[in-house]
Parts: sequence; C-alpha cells; structure tokens
Amino acid sequence: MIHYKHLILSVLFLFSGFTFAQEKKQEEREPGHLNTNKFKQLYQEFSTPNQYRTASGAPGHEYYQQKADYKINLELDDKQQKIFGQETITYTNNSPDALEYLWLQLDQNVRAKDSKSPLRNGGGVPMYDSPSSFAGKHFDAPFDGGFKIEYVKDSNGKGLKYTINQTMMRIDIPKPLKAGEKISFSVKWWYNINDHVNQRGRSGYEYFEKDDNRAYVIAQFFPRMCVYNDVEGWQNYQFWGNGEFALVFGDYDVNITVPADHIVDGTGELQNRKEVFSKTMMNRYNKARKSFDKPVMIVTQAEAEANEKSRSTEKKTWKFSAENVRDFGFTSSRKYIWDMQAVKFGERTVMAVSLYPKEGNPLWEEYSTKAVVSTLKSYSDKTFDYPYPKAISVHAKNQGMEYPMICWNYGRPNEDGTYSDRTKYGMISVIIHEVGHNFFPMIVNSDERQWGWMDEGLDTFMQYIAEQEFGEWFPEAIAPNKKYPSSRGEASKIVRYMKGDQSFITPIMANPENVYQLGNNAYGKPATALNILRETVMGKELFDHAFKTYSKRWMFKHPSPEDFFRTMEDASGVDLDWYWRGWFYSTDYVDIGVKGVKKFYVSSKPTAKMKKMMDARGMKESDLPPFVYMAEEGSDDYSDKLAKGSALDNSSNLKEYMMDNFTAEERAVMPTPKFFYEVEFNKPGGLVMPLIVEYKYVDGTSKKVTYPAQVWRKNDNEVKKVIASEKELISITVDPDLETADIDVTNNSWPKKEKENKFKNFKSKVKG
Amino acid sequence: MQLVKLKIIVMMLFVSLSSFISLHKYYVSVTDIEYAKETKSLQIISRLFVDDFEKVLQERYVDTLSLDDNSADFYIEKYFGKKLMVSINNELQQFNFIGKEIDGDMVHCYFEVENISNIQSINVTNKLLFGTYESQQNITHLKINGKKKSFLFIKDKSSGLLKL
Repeated sequence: MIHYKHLILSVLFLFSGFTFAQEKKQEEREPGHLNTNKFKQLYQEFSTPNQYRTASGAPGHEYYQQKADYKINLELDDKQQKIFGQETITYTNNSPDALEYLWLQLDQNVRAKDSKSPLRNGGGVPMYDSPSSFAGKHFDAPFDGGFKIEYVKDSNGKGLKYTINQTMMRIDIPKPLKAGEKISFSVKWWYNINDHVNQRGRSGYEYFEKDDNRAYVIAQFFPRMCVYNDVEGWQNYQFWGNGEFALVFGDYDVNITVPADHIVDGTGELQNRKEVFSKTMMNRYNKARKSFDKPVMIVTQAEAEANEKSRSTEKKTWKFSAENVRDFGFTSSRKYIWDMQAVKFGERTVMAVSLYPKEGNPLWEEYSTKAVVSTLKSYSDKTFDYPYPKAISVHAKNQGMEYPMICWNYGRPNEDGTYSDRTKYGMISVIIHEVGHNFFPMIVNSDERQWGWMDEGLDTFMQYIAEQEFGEWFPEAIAPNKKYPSSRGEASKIVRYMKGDQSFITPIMANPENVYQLGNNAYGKPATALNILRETVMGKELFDHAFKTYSKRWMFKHPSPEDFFRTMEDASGVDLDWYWRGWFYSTDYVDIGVKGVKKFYVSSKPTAKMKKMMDARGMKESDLPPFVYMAEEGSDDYSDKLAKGSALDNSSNLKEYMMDNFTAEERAVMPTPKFFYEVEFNKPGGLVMPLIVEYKYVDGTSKKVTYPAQVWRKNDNEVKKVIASEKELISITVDPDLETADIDVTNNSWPKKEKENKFKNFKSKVKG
Repeated sequence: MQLVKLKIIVMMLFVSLSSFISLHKYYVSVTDIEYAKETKSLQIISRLFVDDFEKVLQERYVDTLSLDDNSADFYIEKYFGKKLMVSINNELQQFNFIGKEIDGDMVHCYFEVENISNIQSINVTNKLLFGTYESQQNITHLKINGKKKSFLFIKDKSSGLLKL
C-alpha cells in the first residue's frame, strides 16, 4: 500500500512541476463560469417541495384536491342535432383557501362563431385548393357550435352572476367559499352538435347517408369545473384546441334521453338496464358477465341493420352513475352492434365493451374487444388493477379520443370489407392507446392543458409495452409478423425527429399549444425516452417498481411533472436529474462515437514524452522509482521485439513486482493481458447517455460493456478507456443494438464501416 | 402514430374550415439525391407522410387510391414526374421509378437516373405536396462526388442549384 502511495505521489510531483512550467507560458487567464455540468441537480428547474408535494415525489401530508359532483339531465335531439342539458354541480372546497369565485370550462366555445381559436394562426394563399375546402373557407357561414347558457342559479333558484371569457366562465358567488365548505348551483344550456368527420373535433356525430342515420360520440358537452390546486391556483388556461383537459374528480349521475331505438353507452354503470334492454339483450348481458374468453353479442349485426331502418318517435332515458371519475362521455346511435366480454381483477368483474356500426366490420367484431381486454391486463400489471367497472371502445370514423371508461377509435375497412394491415394495426394500436388513457390521465389525473406529455407520453410508452404483449398473447392475430409492429417506442423510431431541424423542435417540457410537432413532442419522444430509461438506463426491474410507485401514489390524484420525476428517482435509488434535464428539458440529441484507437505494448524504457518531462526536471532514470511504461505501436518507442514478448517479458519492474507479491499458484490463474488499447470515445451530441460498447476479438469472441452515463461527468466531449486483453481486438462498436437513439451511427465503429447503401439494398430487393 | 397525427389533423382541418389555415402539423418531406459512381447513376429516395401523400394522390387521380396497393405506383410515378425535376448540366433528366416501401407513417419512394457521368451542375426543383399543404417543406439533400448541399424548399422557393 505504501509502495503504491509513493508511486502516485512521485508521479503527481513530476506532473505538477511540469504543468507549472507549461502554465507560465499562458498569458491570459480564463474567466470563471457557472455550473453547466449536465449532471447538475435540477434545483432551478424543479418547484420547491412543500407540504402538498414532497421531495420524494409523493403527495404531502397536506395534499388536497377539490371535488365536483354532477347531476345532469340531458336530451339528445337527433332530428336537429342539438343537445339540451341541465346540471346541478356540488363543489367541495377541500383547499385551505377561501375561493371568491368559481371557474368553469365551456369547451364547446372553441366552436363558437366568435371563437378566437382560429384567429391565432397565420397562413397565406395556397397555390391551389379543393373546391370543398375553398368553399368551406370562404363561402360557408361559420358553424355556431358554442354553448348557449340559459341560466346559472344557486340552490335556491336565484340567478348567479357569471362572466364568459372565451372557453372559461367565472361564476361570482355572493360570499367566498371557505375551506371545507360546499356549494351547489345549477346551469342550463344547449348547443348545436358538430359533424366530427367533416368539421372535425373530438366530439360530434358522423352522418351515414345511405341509411340516413347518425352515430354520436359526445364529450365536453357540459360546463365542467376547472381544477383549483396548489400548483396552478385556478387552472383556467383557455382551451385553444391542442392542450386537452384538466378536470376534477367527482361522482356523476347522468340521465340521457334519446330516441327510443338508439343504443347508448357511456361513463359509469347503467342504473336502469331492465328498462332500456330487451329481454334478449338482458339474457345475453348476463351471459357476457360470465364470458371470460370471448365476447358475447348484445346486439348482433343483423339486429343493428334492422334497427337502422327504425324511426321511433318515442324517447327512452338511459341512466348512468359513476363514482370518482374526472369526466363523462357517451355514445348514441341506431346503428350500433354491441359486444361485451368479462375480465377478472381479483374478485371484481370488469366488462370490456365495443360498439360499432356495421361499417366497422369485419374488423371490429374480431379485434376491438380483444384489444380492450389485452390493454386492461397489460396496463394493470404495470400500474394498479383497473378500478372502474367497464371499458368501452366505440368506433368513430377517423379519430381517437379518450374519456373515463369510454373512448372513440378509428380503423374502418373498405366498403367491400377488405382492409390493409395499416388499417388493422392502426385500429388495434389506437384502441390500446385510448383505452390505456383510462390509466393516464383519467385515473393518474395529470394536467393535460399544461403538460401534454404527462398523459400522452406515459400512455404511448405503456402502449408500446401493451402492443408487444398483445403480439405475444395473440400470435395468430399478428401473423406473419413475429412481433407487433409498433410505430412508436423503439429508440430507432425517434431518430428522425431527434436529428431534425432544431428550429422546429421544442423541449418536451412545453405547453402543447406552443410546440411544432405535437405528435413527436408529446407522444413519441417522451414514450421513447421512458422506454430507453426502462430498457437501457435503469433496467426493467428498477424502472417498473418506480413506475408502479408513481401510478399508485397518484392514482385518483393530480400529479405534476416533478412528482413523476422525483418518484422515479425516489423509488429506484437512481439519480436521474441528468436524464430528465437532457431528454425532457432540452432538445439535445444522442450522438456518441469511437474517435480513435491506439495500440500499446508494455515496455521497460521511458517513452519519448516521459524523457522530455524528465529532461525538463533534470531527472535521470535512476532517480525514478520502478515504473512500467507503454509504447505505442508505430511510434519511436516501439520495436518489433515488444510485440513478440509478453507484458512480463517486456518489463522487469512488472515481473519483479508480480514475483514479490504473488505466489506461483496465484500467478497461474491471473489473466496476463498482452494487448493494450487506448480507445477514445467522443460525444458530438449534447445528450448524456450510457456508453454501450461491443468489443470483438480476433478469435471471434466479443464482450459488451456498458459504462454508466456518469462516464461523461467530467468531460462532456470525450473520454478515453484503456482496454487490456489477452486477445487482439479487431473491432469496436458503440451502441451495437441501436438502443440509445444515436442520430448518427456512421461514427459508431472502429474500424470505420462502409455506410450501408439503402438505395442499393432496396433496388436489389425489388429487382432481384 | 397515425393516432397522433390524426389528432393534429383534426385541429388543422377544423380551423381551416373556420376560414383560416392552421399550421399545427409539421408538413415535411425529405429527399436524398446521391450520385453513385460505380453504377453511374443518380439515386433518389423521397420520404413523405403516407396520409399527406395519399390525400394528394386521391385528390388528383383516384378517390379510392391507397398507398398500400401496388396500383398506386403508376400515380406515384406520374406525380413525381411533375413535381420533382432534376437537371444535370442544364439538361432535364428522366427518372425510373424503382418502387416504394411503407415504413410506419412514412412512404419511401425510390427513383434512379441512369447513365450519368461528369456532373458539373445539378439543379433540383422539388414541389412535392406544395399547394395542398400550405406549410409543406421539402428538405432535399444532395451528395455528389463528396460534395454535400442541403436545401429547405418552400412554396416560394422550390429550386436550388449545386455547382461542382
């Protein structure tokens, strides 16, 4: 030990003298700088922990959330495509603050005649335009789809003053609502329902010309309470169209009156099944509740087709009741085919449900409910058992959108019933994604208005896992593919975005209204970042435990980004500030390469460089302790003799040391490396990542080494490694399995690889 | 993937029908044009979003056209013939359509110009998808005899020249 110490000290001494001599030559002193280290903790970016949200990422001891209970009576006018509603909201102030006013969301006002949403975008005259688009832009009167508020009254029927500011409504209450108090008030309204296929939108109807029917998928149809919490105060950021919703948990009783021949399903449990179901439907439903392996038809295609021709003038009221949900959505049409299957979670039976017009078949009857069941199982396994009584997938022509227990999904076959793989996988993927949204954000209720990625990114990440499991559980459904063709999740899929034009890329931590490519920004990149974190940085076990901890901690609560970031570190013991900083707070990309490789042999003679240093200090070889030197192949220090001998042959100092300190038996089992390499890795990209390296040797063996990301902590640009080996090294590859989203792999190999010619490969594939 | 784009398209179309064109979605294509000495040919790969391109072809040619179908190849070739023009030494070139492949939500189209030698200048005009998509940008990378040049073509500036 002392021996080593002496060595190290003497070397330090030598070098310090040498550096001193060098420093004298420098005239200008470099200025100081702030801490720009990529491993710096995120104290500036993160909010300060407090009694509501702890530094561990869990809800604090004074965490609170508001409650909003709704009783809604609704009538759907199919003839005029209008909705008439009356609601009583009971709002409980669980915050420690007195509230002087209440804010409600009027999302439909984004479609009001005077909506500011369309005015916020620029654009010039196009070179050409389709007649329908042109007419729509310049000839049609704007659609009037905004809320018509008839009244806002307190519980005694007295009018309450309210002010509408675009998509937000402030209700001025006579006296502040103190901590712990409740207030009840009623709102009456109506609005014109839009055509969600042609006018687009997340809610609306699709018109089927052939049989003159509509299928309604209805949401954001009622004035909804804004969130009030410790992070945002009142979250009354306007609904411009991209940033989705921030909503309060509560209990819902919703009565929906529709034409008597409509089939309805929505959030919550149906309370009057016997009134609205025929006896046949009732029997089939009871059968479905026990059918765990396949769906049972509640309404068959033949029945749905017969129903399409009906024009009942009677009405029926469907009554739904839901506990602890943040929103309510429903669907209604004469056209629906309806199937259900039971899924077991512990003692509970959850129903997986699909509703689709005949236009969705044969695709929907085959895959929709199957995908719902599969999603519930995959997501529950990684988070918590799905707590709601059902999950519904409704077929809407060309949109995917999620609400508690219900979602709309695209995927329509051609009219002759044929469909491409793209349609099929698009449909299964969108169902997995939208049903998955039940977990994020319907239950782990993040603020979508502010942070699109918190639900879309986490959900798209989980979607990848669920898609892969779907492929494993139903190999016949994905044949001839060996694995499910996920379009997002794998590192390689995000490369094109990450290496794109920086002026069109925003950090993930940005409001969804202000990003250029929402799909990549809020879905693709965070999903991939989490997938890489799971598979490459943390490992599945640590990641899955932390992710589950986050899900459980924030189940039925309102997490913020820090709550997620902190929990992932807190539950795993992995410092990830560098990862969040790079992937979530910056637009940096991964580019790591191997810059150069030098080969060395052990030598007994000081190298030229060493000699120069010794001369500068006036030292002779005899002044030095016993050192081992390394001579670079091809340099003046090198001779062929060195290449022939072993490390011990080449250095008597080393040999003596080994003889003195180890027995012959010990020496016999020690590795005796002969080849020494200095490998220089460089990092042109800004993102810090683990350095994954595959070393291949002359005898055909290889070794994969993962150096932790911390290898870059003292030099963000390059790092050298000494590789000692008994066998000659023939190649080095950085990130051999393409797991880090390295945007330029042309610098990943030594010796440098010929770049593959994509064109040549494709041409030979096509032309043979 | 389609999912997200759909959500964005939803807003785009909604807004455009309310009399303004919105630029929510990122409309972009990438074309690589590379000279291969050993085959004396110009290799062209264009990558476009499937849904954008399909819509343009449907509007122009056949309502029911699907890029999954090989019958679309005829129209792809026809469309590219009008919208992507390559002149070498001031001479407009004809190119052969090799084929296409779909990768996620992108379609990759392959073309080749044969019998090319002694390139002194190359002029590219890339008008793919302009007009239908107001904010369409066509990134075009040229790599000729070791010389690289990239262009970002927009509606108002759709051609560029590389002199060697």
